[in-house]
Amino acid sequence: MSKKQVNWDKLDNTALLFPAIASENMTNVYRVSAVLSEEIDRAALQKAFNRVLPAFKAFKVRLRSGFFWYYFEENPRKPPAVEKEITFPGAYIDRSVSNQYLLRLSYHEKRINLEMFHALSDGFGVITFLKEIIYQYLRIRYPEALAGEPDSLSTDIFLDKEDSYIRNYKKPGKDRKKYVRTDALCITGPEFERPEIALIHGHMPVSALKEVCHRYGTTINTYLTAVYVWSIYKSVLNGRAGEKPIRCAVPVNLRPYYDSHTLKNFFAIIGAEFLPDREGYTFPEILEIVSESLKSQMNRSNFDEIISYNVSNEMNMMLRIVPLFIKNFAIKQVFSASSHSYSTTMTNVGPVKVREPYKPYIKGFSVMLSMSEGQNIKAAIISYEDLLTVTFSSCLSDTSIQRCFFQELTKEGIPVTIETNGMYGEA
Amino acid sequence: MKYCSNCHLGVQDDIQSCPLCHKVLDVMPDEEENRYAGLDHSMGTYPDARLRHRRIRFILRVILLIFILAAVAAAFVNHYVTPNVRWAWIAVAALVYIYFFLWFWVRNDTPVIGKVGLMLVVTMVLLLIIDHFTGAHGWALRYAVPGLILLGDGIIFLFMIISKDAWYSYLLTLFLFAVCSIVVVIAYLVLGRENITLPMICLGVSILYLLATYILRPREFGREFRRRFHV
Repeated sequence: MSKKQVNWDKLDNTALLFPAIASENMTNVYRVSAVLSEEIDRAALQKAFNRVLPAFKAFKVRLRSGFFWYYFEENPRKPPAVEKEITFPGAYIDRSVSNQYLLRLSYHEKRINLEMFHALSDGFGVITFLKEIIYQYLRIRYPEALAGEPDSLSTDIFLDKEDSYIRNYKKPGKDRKKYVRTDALCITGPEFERPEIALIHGHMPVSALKEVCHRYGTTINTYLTAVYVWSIYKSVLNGRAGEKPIRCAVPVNLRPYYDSHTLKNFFAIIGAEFLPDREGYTFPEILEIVSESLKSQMNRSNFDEIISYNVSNEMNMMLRIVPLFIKNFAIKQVFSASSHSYSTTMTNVGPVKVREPYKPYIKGFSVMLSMSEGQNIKAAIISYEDLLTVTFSSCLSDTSIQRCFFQELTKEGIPVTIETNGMYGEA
Repeated sequence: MKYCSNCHLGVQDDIQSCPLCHKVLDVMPDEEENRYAGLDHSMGTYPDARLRHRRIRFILRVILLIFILAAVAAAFVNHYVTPNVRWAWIAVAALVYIYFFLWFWVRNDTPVIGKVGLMLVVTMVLLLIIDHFTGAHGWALRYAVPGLILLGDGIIFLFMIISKDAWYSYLLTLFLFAVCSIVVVIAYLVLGRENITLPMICLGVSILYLLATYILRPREFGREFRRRFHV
């Protein structure tokens, strides 16, 4: 019989959605990969994982169903085995083969992939965790070269697992804003057989990108979002007018706005919106529209409203006492009905900073988003040193949006190299 | 690194044509080498997951085909050999039931106890339906359902012994079986059936089992129920 009290935790406000809608075709898995300078040693990686995971209590959990809500419970099982990569990127995490953990650590040649169910954390948490695994791995692999490094977690990270949505929740007033959006342009076309997914990584120097952004007087995030919207406008609508807006979901890390260090989810989605109400928009015009759209939403008061709106549903006593299976059904219906609000998603997890002694061993990072209903293509951005990597994940066999995106960048004089996961094959 | 002179970008894959525009790739021109210095970083190759995935899907389809053929064969034999007794429906229902659970066990990642619990409850409901449509003799309520509940209690006991550190995980399923046994006894009384021995044994075992876990480990019992029923 158990000797100590089992820790358990509620799911954060955003996480409540994911278990209800997750499936093999909509995995809600977030993946961050790192490429090292040498081939990965499986035994050393497993050792590093086994040492680091117990320290991250927020991730050493399993998902359990209560009568009214899901909840996380400390997982007493040993960490899952580090796997050789055999599945599609962002594939469904089968809990029956992962010791009930909601994450998967795999490797292929020089690459380490950490995949995590979104109910656990967002990009910030996944990157923090992956960096610590890599540091530990490198200390095991190169004990002499890294002899000066303390064999423990970095002292600049937080292991906080508060629900920052609840902490920053303010009861909405009677005139609370409702977040009902019209349907956005849906990007469709011939698809791969689900759950097959195609990746295209595009690498470019941050310095060259900054130069172009400086010329346009904008930020990297806004510029790349605008190029993405422009690419959809050019390749899906062929530059014609359309009735539905192109709306790109842009997740924003809320931690800097609310002084939070939580490892749990803490982000809000804002939409970069462009309505092609006439023909022949130029790129500078679209950049201005996207920039205005983002600027108007990227402020603390808007985030306050988003948090209040989302959390107030969770706080509603009438909804709380509804049994879980009914909640799941309702969440699925609501999600399905609202899934066409966005055409796509572009997330930017920003620059990854690595501790100086480990830099020579780490060559780069990439991040990818899995598919969701209504969005057949998504993009994710990450940068490391002077290298920025944009990763398009798509279940569409057509690559015209990606082509338009990268051609627009090269037209501006930015050198770009691309690579794929082999799904597009030879013409 | 190769170069696409149409898209004006470097391509790191070991392929003949550009994945974006499908133009045949060139070698990187000398004048571009400097601009692309530092961009030769690669995320590495990817394993061919498509092959593995398609193989699994093919096996599942073969199994489905076998089940369909078996159902057709049963209907055929029934029609030509014993046309007076329509047993083929039961055979088809059994095949559907077995295929559903095979699929459920392989494709669903619910913990084993959840699968066992659901399987037993669905089986109870199915047996009650079969009993109802085959003369309503009451054998399902009298023997089959209580028997399945007792089997469930036994499986939970086994699971609790095997995973001693997480024995509390099975309390909700135990609770579910206790509720089922109460429902069976109530149904028995309402329907006025005779010979209530097995349902009463089943109720007694389920309630005593639940009570025993509470008496032996009251704190863990309370915590587990607080977790499971938190609002």
